[in-house]
Amino acid sequence: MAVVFHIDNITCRYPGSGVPVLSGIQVEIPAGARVGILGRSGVGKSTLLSVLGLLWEGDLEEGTVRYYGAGCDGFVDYRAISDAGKRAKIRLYDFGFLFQSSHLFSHLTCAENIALPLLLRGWSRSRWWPRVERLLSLVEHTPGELVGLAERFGPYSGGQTRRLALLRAVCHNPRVLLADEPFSNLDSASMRAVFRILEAWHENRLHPEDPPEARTLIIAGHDLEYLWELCDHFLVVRQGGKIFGDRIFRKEEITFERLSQLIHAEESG
Amino acid sequence: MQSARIILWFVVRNLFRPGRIAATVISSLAIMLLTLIALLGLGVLYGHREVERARLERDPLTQCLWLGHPAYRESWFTEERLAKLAEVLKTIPAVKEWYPCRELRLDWFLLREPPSDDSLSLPGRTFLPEDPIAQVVRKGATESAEPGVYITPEFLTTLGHKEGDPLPTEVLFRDSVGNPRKTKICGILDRELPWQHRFLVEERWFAEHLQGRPDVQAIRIQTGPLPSQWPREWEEFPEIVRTAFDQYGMLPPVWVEDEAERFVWDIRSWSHGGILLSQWFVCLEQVVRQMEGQGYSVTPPEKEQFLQIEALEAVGADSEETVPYHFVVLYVPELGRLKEVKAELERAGFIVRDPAHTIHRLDELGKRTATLSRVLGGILGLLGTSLFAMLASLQAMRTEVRRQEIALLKALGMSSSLAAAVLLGEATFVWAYSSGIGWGIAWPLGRFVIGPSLVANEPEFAGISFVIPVPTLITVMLLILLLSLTTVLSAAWKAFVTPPMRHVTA
Repeated sequence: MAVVFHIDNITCRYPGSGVPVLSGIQVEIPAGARVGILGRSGVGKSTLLSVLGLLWEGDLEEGTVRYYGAGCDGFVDYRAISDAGKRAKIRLYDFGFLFQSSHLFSHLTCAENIALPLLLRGWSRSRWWPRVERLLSLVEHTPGELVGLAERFGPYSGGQTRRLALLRAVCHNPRVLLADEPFSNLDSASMRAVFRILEAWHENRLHPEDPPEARTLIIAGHDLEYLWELCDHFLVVRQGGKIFGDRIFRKEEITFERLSQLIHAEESG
Repeated sequence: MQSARIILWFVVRNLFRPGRIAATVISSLAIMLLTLIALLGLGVLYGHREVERARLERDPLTQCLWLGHPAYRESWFTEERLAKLAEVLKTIPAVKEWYPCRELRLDWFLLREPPSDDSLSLPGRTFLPEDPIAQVVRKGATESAEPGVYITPEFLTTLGHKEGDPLPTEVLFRDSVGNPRKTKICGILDRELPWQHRFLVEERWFAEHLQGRPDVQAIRIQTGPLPSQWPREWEEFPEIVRTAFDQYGMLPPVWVEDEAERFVWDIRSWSHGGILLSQWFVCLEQVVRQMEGQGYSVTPPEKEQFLQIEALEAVGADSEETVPYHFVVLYVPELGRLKEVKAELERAGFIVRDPAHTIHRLDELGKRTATLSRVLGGILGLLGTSLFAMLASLQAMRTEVRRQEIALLKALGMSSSLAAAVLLGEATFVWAYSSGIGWGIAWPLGRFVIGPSLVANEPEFAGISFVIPVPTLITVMLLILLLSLTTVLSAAWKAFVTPPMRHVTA
């Protein structure tokens, strides 16, 4: 099976911190997988997403990550790309980010917020507007709920903000989507909408005009039920920034109960 | 091109959207104010300089060169030399016009009531009707068929006119045969004339009043019979009279008997160029006055007989010939070419003089403009520094907010250079329209409000032209742009080095 990320024995720590946030992680992430990263708060799930998404600007202390992207000649060794411009280009063209707390710019309209990755690619309004309008209609609870906001500067509810941030993360149809806690603090309708969008994007149904390809979804979160339903691979991050079993579990190899047990065991002690 | 479009997209939205507009308005006002003051100051300064320069250029007295010298006979303009000059000037197109003229030294009676016999010799010159000087002297003067004299303010004060006295309409002078004659004062000039000339007369005035008996330069003259009371030996004359002879340029006289066996004086001038006949008359009249002062009485008939002067030896011409022109006035409208024309004429063998005050006035104008530029530069420097401090503080306050935004944009894929370029683009954009507005206000304000108030009393300058030399304009605009960019330099650098956001917190 093709691999999208080869995480090779990485160790990293925050500047000034004696304890490594990730320690000796060695795992491969298959291309096209839906990976759930589980673990209690503060074990390094978000940091692992940052490292994979080239947002970790500090040098990796040990090891490296190899990204096997479509536009890459073979793979990109994260240790080898010190040029911030190249990093930004990979983030812009290959990755999509849904951060833990969505942040929308108050001086941009709803539509402009969503279209930011497309704008950074140089798309004109006439090109991005239909795409954004269609995406908005896909996550509406009621007709016109979000399309009506397209030209406005907010304010948005918590659920609307999260859905808009998700649309921003997928509007440019990235190869890899890195989502941090996408379901937290959402009502069930919004959770369902987020779920639908993630699934549609992964299955190349969100942007039918783009050629289909293997899209990798990597989600860090606590909500095991949604992650179990959505993901087909699981990583359990333990205290000390290590991976449980030093491996990634396929859904067939582990039960919901076992996963739950692992997480709760970590949490209790 | 695509990058420029992206930068412009972010710049416009960052500047003019809710929550941003207040800071943008403050920055815009600061840049606009600086541009307005800078351009207004410079525009008025340079515009005023242009007016001053135009005044100089319009003034015939400051755009001329003078050929020849009244004291040097060789430099006088006979018909032959005028023809030669005409040939030479065909090759010098910078000389727009040229006119020959004569220098006159006339004896003018003091302005006293009742009229006095006291007179003073003052120099002046003639002019032809086409001479541009005519426009100056006739300004404000009433048109009159009768030719008269145009005098300088100093002419009046020298002849005893006091401030507050009514201005005279006529003045008395002594003609070439020594008789007092009245002439009309056609105008009083608002300035002094070069070469210490105190009056101007038209050539036709000269022909009417003086050419009846040509006022030739005479090296040797003969007086009429000496008054009976006067001594027969030169050494017996009072010291004061003998000294005066030398001062007037006369050598001691020789006693000669005339046809009626009366003694007359044969006097030579020690001056190489001789003395104008009219001047001989003035000098000898002074001698009569001094002798009377020393107790040697002279009856009026004796005085009249004594002052019947004959020119025995005129310079370059016999006494019947018209006096040649003493010099030629050349008009060079392009003041910058005065020196070049002067050099060419000197190469052609002419004595060329330029009125020192023309060059002096030009130099003064340049120095004054330079000084005012420095003062203005200082004021603008202070203003610019204050505005810089204000804008830099404003940017510093916004930096933290902007850093978070930029970190998020970088996480989404914005490059560091693009992030910095957006901030620099904002400063450039604000500069572009703010300085445009500043210019748009400065120009009409300077041209139609401030300019006219500076030169309101001169109908030929209905407002200053609000001129800023292009290099100065570009320099000022670039300096303001630099100031504008400098205020965001720190923020741009921070944007460049800010790492992409890893975790976004609300």
